[in-house]
Amino acid sequence: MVESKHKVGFRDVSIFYGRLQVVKHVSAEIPEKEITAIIGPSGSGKSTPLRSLNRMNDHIGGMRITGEAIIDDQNIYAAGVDVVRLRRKVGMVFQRPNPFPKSIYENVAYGPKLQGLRTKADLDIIVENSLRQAALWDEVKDRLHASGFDLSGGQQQRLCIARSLAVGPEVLLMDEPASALDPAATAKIEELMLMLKRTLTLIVVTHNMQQAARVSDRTAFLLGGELAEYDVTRKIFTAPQDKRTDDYISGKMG
Amino acid sequence: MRQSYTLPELFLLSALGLALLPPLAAVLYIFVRAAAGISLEFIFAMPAQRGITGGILPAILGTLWLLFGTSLVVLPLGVGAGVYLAEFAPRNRLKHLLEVALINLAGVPSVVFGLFGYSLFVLTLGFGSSLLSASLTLAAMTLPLVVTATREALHSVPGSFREASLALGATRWQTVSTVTLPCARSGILTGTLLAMSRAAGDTATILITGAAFFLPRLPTSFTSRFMALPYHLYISATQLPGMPAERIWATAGVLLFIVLIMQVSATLWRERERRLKKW
Repeated sequence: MVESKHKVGFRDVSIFYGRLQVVKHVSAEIPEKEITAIIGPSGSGKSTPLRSLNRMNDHIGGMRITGEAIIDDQNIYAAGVDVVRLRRKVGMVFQRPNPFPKSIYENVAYGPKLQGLRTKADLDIIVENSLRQAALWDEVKDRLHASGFDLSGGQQQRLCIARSLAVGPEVLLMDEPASALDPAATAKIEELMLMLKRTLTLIVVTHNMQQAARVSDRTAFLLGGELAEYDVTRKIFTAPQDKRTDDYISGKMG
Repeated sequence: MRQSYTLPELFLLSALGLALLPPLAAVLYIFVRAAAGISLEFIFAMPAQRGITGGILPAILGTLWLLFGTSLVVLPLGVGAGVYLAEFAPRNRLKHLLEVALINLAGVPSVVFGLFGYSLFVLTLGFGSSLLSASLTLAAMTLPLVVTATREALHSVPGSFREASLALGATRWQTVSTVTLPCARSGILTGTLLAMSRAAGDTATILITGAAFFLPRLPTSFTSRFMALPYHLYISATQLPGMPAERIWATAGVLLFIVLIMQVSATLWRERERRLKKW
């Protein structure tokens, strides 16, 4: 079997907030155009490695990282890396839907406009394509200039996904993207993730193990900042190698 | 309907009544007394006979000019400093110290700012007794208020908006100018309006930096002396025998009206924006 290309990698990554070490010597290679889930009990440091991949942790005072976080064979913490350019390549969707207090159209057009795109015709195309990709177009095409806040929670989250897609990312980081949503809205997000993986590499933090089992190709189990186990999702959920993984997925822990 | 009040409730209720009564009565009293002296001539004519006859147009326009000059300085400086403190300054002891200092500076008595302005703007920098010196002095006095209002307005913008913007590849400045600042706009403007209404009524600062009691012409430039409502009111109430009482009350009424307009529009604006935003 041909090993697919590795898009993202952690090489002996440790992350500290002040003196507190939240991520401990994590190493993992994440393949292109797959969905990789990061699971683990709350407080086990799931979000921190995710947020290290678009350097959102840079804004937290006292953050320090050792090891290498790799995207496309490049250490993104190397000197001279352009964080702004990195974030265009590595998009992020947050736990709570966080549309801007702007119209649906302006939310999606925000990223392209930052890059200097001003032509209305071009923006119209990007906005429509991104909303279609996020499976939201049909629901909002008649009210593109209504406020993003007028949408339901699930629609808002898909709007946030569309907003990320408009920048043309290759990797999409999702930090518990459905934890604030009801089951129907969650199902839509999961369906969307499966469509998006045709073109994107998705990494999703979730506390919902069923979700990890349903959508992901690979699963990483983090415990106390350590990568306890990382494998193909089917194996993690049917034949875990580590006893701690077994305990967690069978509900004895967490 | 409730049947009866307990003793503590009764006490608190009467405290509320007693606390509200004097200021409400004062405002009402001033407007009632002012009504007798207000006329079109009083508002739109030049003063004559040291203000005993004629109107107070130069004082009204002087106060408006003063506010205009002050906000010309305060808006860019105050908002700029507030934005820097809230969005760019590294979080350390110095920043904390600055913020505490700003809050305390807002409590410095205005006469002290007046003396400072007199020494710096009037004498040292040679701007003389002028609209310019007085505006700069009022700006110095109101800057801490505007910086603090800006900082607080920005702090109330949810961090998730900033995160979303940064994650889309925005620089810090792009994030501030396209997301956080527009969200904080109403807070900043209401804070500025409240600061300006404080400036409008201040007498001590302008008294020694450029206000004139009787100047029956309009200021022609920022270097001229000027009349202003609070100073005119002070002199006509205390230093001018023969000044008809209704003219004094009418001057007070006009000043109060200008200040109230600013306060009320600040409040209405804030309420409107509060209804519009849903975060």
